[in-house]
Amino acid sequence: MINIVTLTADVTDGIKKMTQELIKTGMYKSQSEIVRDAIRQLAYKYNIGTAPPIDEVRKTFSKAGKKTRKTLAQTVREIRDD
Amino acid sequence: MKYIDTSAFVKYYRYEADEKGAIKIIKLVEDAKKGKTALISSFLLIGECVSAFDKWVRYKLIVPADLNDIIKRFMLDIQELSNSGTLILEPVSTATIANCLDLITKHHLSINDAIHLYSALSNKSLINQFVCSDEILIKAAEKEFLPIANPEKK
Repeated sequence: MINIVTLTADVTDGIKKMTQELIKTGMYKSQSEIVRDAIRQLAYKYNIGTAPPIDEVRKTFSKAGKKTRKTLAQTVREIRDD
Repeated sequence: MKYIDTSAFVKYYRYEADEKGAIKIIKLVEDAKKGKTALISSFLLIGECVSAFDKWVRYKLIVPADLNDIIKRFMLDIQELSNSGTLILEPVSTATIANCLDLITKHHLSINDAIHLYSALSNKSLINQFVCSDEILIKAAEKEFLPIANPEKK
């Protein structure tokens, strides 16, 4: 089970505005999601952390797939037709 | 040895309930990881898989951090399969592209389809199955007398 903890950070008005803009784009639902994404991207950039278990990846696609009828195989076809 | 097209390989990252044929591909890839079966594909598979995953970011279905994790997992899987010697990835060279031209015009294929078809045909004597779930590529592969295995079909 994933244990959720709270991380508090002081930010400038500019950073706060940026988070609001990112939420407006629809890409993120909350400031927490932005912070999580930013930290994961930093970890990726500096090669910190390991690959997630395969089941976690399938869960991510399963959750995302609920918003669409697309399959990954269909996405491959789209790439080939682009 | 089985040739695995990208349209089939990506199913390893889905559940059967979300994408038909996933259960067969999960078994196939897991068997390959255990050394029970051997797979072959084109090196193009790497680019196509990452491109398909990235497209879901462009559709705003997943966030960039999810993509980073997915790519990490994918690269680890490729590394595991390659290290165990059960996944051969055929290089894409200038000769490959030149040899694909006939296949493109003969079957009216995209270059990516033609690269997979050419990679399979150049290893035809080693391949007992062409694992693919893409109808366009399947039709062309059938005409080239490759033994098709569509994971979406019973």
